[in-house]
Amino acid sequence: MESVASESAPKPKKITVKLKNIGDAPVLKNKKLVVKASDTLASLTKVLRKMLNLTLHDSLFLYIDTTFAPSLDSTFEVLARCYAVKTTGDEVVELQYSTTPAYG
Amino acid sequence: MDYEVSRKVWDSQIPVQFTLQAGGPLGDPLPYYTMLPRFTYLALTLPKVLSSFNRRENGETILAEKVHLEVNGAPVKMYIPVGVIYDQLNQKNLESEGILEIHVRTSQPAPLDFQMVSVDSMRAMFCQTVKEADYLKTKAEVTSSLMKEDMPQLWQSVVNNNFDEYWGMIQKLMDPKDGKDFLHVPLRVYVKNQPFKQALITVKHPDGSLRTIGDAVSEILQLSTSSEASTPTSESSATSSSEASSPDDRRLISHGIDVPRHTPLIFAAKNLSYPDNFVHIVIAEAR
Repeated sequence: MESVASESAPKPKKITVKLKNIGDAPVLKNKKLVVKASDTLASLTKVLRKMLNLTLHDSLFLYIDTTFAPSLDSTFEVLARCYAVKTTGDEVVELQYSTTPAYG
Repeated sequence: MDYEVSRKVWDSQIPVQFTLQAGGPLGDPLPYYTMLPRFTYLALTLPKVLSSFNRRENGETILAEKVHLEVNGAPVKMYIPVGVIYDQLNQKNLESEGILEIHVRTSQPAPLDFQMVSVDSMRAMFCQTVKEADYLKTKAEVTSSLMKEDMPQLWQSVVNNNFDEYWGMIQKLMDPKDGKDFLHVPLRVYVKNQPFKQALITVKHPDGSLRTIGDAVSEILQLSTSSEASTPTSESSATSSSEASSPDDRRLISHGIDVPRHTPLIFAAKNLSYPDNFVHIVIAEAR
């Protein structure tokens, strides 16, 4: 990112992601992740596939509010601005993951 | 919804040229020229393009899984409406005047940031985007009350370029029977070389006046991290944004036209949305 005249480059914003399995998807040991705001859902999918030991043939679907699957090129900046859940004051993006299509 | 406006938006098309560099003894096949509706997807067009390339005798059959698509030397997204791709190139960057030139490449491996999208996955992505839009508009009340065959029918209207079928379906999504205001407007904003931006934008200002599309775009761009990152320390963030282009000389492009900044956001949502139920606005610099 180009910064114009700012002396100290601001720290890239981080976003907390909470993951929950649905259906037969394996449960994660670590359900909380911290990602960069500029990361996309596609990059999280890659990380998640590794964490879940999925093969190339396994599918992985991510949902918001058990309703829809956001576009894979959504950044977490967008997901936080539109769909973050504020329960304890912190903004958290909650995602459900499944290895089979779950909602329509 | 305004029938005339929706019909005009639906009918607008762009000229597209597909070229294939196959090499081999036969040389390259002739380019494939077509007019595409702005609302369609390259994922839907590619099979037709390849069957045209594959029609020549003794040529090697080109399979969709073995190709990747480029525009201006960069991978192109097959799952965003072609009208948005066209507007992003901002016309002056189109290789030949006014024609969107798509290069079909057979070189392996495909670039990492290219994603091949089959017609089936395109249908799934489309339906999920419509659902996301409805989640923003009504907390997904409308889509969850739709009949099982409604969503496939909306998709079929896109595949078959059938406005009458589309019109029947889209009114259910845009003019819900309960007559409630949209909670938020599904709006994506594209700034050159950046991922799309989106935020929770209501139809009205807190004082009850209608929000304009100009207001909405400024709000989406002001709060984004990239503009925060370039905010000089001397300037308070409460003042206007420090984006390279000031709000006044930013052009808002959708469906190839300059959308007037004072257009009410709700009008844009109902009449200028693509079939995926999102308004897609490309930011261009002032002429």
